[in-house]
Amino acid sequence: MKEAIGGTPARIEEALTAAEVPGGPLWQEDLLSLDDRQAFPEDAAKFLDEVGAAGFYLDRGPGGLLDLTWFIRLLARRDITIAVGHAKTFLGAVSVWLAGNADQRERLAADILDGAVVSWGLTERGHGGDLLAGGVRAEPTADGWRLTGEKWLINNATRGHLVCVLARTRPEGGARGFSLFLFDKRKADPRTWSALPKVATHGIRGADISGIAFAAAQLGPEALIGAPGTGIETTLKALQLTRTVCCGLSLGAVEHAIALGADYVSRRTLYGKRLADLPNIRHELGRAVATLHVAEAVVFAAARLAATAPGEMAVVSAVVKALVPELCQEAISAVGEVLGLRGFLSADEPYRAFQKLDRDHRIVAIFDGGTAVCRNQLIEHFPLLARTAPGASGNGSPLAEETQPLGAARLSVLSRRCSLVDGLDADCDVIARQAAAGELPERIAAAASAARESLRITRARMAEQSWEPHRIPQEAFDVARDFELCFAAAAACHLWTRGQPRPGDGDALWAAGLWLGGALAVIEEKLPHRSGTADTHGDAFEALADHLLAAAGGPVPALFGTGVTPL
Amino acid sequence: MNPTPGPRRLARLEHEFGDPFEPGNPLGFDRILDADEAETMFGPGEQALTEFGLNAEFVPARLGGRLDRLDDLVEIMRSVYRRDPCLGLGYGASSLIAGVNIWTAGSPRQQRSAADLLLSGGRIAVAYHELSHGNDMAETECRASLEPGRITLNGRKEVVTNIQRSEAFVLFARTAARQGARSHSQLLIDKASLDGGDFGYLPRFRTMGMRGVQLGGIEFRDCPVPDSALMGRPGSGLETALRSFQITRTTLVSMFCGVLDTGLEVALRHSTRRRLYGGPVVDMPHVRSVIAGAYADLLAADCLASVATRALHVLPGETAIYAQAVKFFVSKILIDAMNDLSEVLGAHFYVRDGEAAIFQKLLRDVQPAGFGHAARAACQVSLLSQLPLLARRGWAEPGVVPDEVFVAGRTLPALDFHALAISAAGREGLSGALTTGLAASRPGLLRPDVAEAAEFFAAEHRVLTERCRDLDVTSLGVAADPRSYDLVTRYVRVLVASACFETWRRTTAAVDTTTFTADQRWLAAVLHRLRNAAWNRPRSLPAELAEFLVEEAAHRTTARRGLGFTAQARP
Repeated sequence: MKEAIGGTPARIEEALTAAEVPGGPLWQEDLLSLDDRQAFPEDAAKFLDEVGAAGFYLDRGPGGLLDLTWFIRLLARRDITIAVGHAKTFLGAVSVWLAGNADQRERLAADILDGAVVSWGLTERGHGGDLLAGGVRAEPTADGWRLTGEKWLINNATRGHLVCVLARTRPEGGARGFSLFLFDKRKADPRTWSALPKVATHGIRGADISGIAFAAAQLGPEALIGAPGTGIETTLKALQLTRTVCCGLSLGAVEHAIALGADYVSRRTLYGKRLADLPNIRHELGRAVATLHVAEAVVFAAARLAATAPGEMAVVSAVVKALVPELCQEAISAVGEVLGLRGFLSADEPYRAFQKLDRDHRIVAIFDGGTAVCRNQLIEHFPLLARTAPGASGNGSPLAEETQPLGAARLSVLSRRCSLVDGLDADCDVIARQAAAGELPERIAAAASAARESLRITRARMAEQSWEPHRIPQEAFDVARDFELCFAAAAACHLWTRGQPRPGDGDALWAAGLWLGGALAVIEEKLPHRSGTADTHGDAFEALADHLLAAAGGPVPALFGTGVTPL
Repeated sequence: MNPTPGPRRLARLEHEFGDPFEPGNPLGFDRILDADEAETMFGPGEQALTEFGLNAEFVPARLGGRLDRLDDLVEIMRSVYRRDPCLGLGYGASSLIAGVNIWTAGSPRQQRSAADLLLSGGRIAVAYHELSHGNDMAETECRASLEPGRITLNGRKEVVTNIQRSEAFVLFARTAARQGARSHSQLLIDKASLDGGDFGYLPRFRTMGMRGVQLGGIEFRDCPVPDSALMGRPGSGLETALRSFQITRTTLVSMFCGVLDTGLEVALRHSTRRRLYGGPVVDMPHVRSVIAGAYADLLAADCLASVATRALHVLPGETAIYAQAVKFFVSKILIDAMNDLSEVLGAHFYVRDGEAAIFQKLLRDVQPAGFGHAARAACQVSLLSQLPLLARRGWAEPGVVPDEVFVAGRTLPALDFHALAISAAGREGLSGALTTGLAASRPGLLRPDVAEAAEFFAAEHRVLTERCRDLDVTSLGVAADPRSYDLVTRYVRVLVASACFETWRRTTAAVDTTTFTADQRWLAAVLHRLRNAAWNRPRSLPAELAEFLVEEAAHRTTARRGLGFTAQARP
């Protein structure tokens, strides 16, 4: 039986749309002006509090991660600053959901529903993503812990009421030498901590990117999250979830860019022709839309796998966080080239939201583990992934029925396999049969088959790689990217063979594999093995551009539309 | 009187500006960033350029200026761009574009007065752009009604650098109502002559990058100017632009190489100092690969742009092609390389203070390389329509490209503004030079990877010649099939490969073989990346080539040398 995916336009989208009017809390003019003035979008944050957005940040059980990711996507379509600035509370809280005791979880959930902002203090000046080099230390005292040191480049470090802090609890450090603490500013002695100044940033200029310094700040015993020494492990598991969620930002950003581009080309006349009627312009826009569908399929798979195959998330989250921001930035840049000067003007210009989203989106590839960090994590899995027996798919389907709540015990810092990719063979067979039956264009089956062959080649190359610690050769990074592309193909094929739209929510995109053809074309363009039908990719992009431009003025047609569950 | 040689002028400019990374330098990055934050031009920088007499670089020697070689001009401007592209564009390039049009089409009297104005430190703006028409200059609406004794202006120009603070401007205006290429003229308008006329300035246009540049607009309402303002024959405006833009498109984009030069230096400095996972970041193979790749891209950009710049002196009949190719290729590879380098900086790229802060400004400032002064896409379309003629003429029987186009520092023929052909009429010898050069290379001279890549691009040249020869030119307009557009991309890659191969080969044959340019490894790196770009695969360099380029870049940075082929000494 096929399972319905996506959802009906939810109340949240209605609420957000209603807030986009002049004078409303999400009025685009105001959000752009706040960016200009580097001011936090307070009204927007207040509005989100009022409509109960905090509910998305709680430990919502199975399906919760997908809902949250889609919610972030809807916010990011409007403004990445508010998406980053508000949804951060989930990132701050997730370690408690994973490793906190029942009392801690309950209290934090109540606090968040009450409007508390939670921040996440991982990084420090001088060693960024190198968590094991962290210098903030927590020493046991008679009645709890004493926290000293500085966390820097922390989102909401100043606005936040609580900060989840990773601190060294063994002087020698190491994988068991760190622990997590929930620092409550409201209860702490104000002389023992201070917020660091806001850092001026390239994009998300209004966001509170700052830091916090602790000077022997006293914490009660209840501040410790999980057992002492489990901080690194919990953090690595939490990152598997947050890296997935972050990709919602990329989806929203690329949709926003496409909407601006579609509107521009529909109105703009050059050389006596409407840009929307020029095949090359349509090709570029169509490719951007196809990229959006790839990203949607990948992010959907990752967010669902967190519930259906949590043990595989070490690989899945690395793949999604490395690939999705990169592909989406490519698409955004391509739209930027279409907009040209109009996407560069920052005032009194109808398309000036573009220059903001372009700056804003570049943060996604950086935070919560940059692209290289994620590829590193994927490469460490090469020996396991290279030898996974193909065709052993089953319990790793993002569309599987059984779902499991979040929990540290179900996640693992090392994945044994990636069953979504293992399933590519079977899904390719289905697609080949559909093409043979005339239900799908032949080129789609050819592209799927090219992905299957590419996966075989990539697995062989993964098996060949060897390296010393922290001396991973560049070739392995390139192989990792190929694996990510194969993952994307597998996600798209699986979604096609096992999913279907809910009525009215992107169903036209499903007719004759419209979205699938575009998605596989974008992927195949970059694969090590190709089908030789590359000349027909243009047809897929043209069809998507048609679909997009027919809907110009409305929302960008997307696989999942506004698919979030109602509040 | 001959001006002081270009390299000595450049050395003086470098000396006067000092090391931009030096924290206390009043002309350094810290102060440049302050100006960016304030969205103003960098005042002390402008003053220093006035003292240096930068405007004289735009004025031909025969008119008392220092412009005799365009490659010298580019090197001097790169030195400005590597510090602050706003100074480059907002102080320099705008007056340069005006100047080149005036030297191309102005009367002796107009040339004299423009030269005098520039040499006295004045500014001349270029009022070409109208927001509604973008690159489609033929659709220009701003009108100049030519009447005996006077000209009446109506309409507006938008997003024009320095329009308000210039003493004069070149105006591109419609002088005939009919469609076509002879309906526009260029005017050199002295602002003093506008006195009393009905005109007004538009509010400033703000931009994401180049934030300091004063972009404005002007609107005329039956505003009279003397008829002496007309440059050249009525109706010759587009023709003048087509000639002069060959110079400005080639050189302006080439100046942006200075941006990537600094981007590389920032990335090297940052990754050398920063330690992660127990060692310097620069020791990580991935980081080395990204830096080396961006360096190879700088070399490819520098090489094509330098060859095209010298061709303006040597092969003015062919540069209508090369200028478009430079704009199309160089702008994109510079922007992409800056994007790549941002990954090496990680979160530090995103922060607007600290020692890497200049990077985010340069990343924003480099964007107009792609759309300013003609968009990449417009150049691509222009090349597209010329493919069949090129295939039948220049590709089938390539003309000889003389050594001085490839070998830096040779004596060049004087720049002749009137020799620039409006159309190359299919003449183009550069792309075929690789095939000839490959055949002339003695066995064993080439590294196997270079030989293989060169064979690939020679074959590509043959394939394109076959494919394009019979293309229907009526199908090659702006509404062409995307697959036809792709032929331009492939062709330009062959041009780049050929420019690089021949620069290496002719330099090796002509001068001592110990120079960097004569080292075959940079060529191997550039060709490797071009080839993988053609196959749309990761362009990562083999470790040997990556090591070579990172070591070279690190060595030059330490030795205070520029990263381009000239390895310019720096303070």
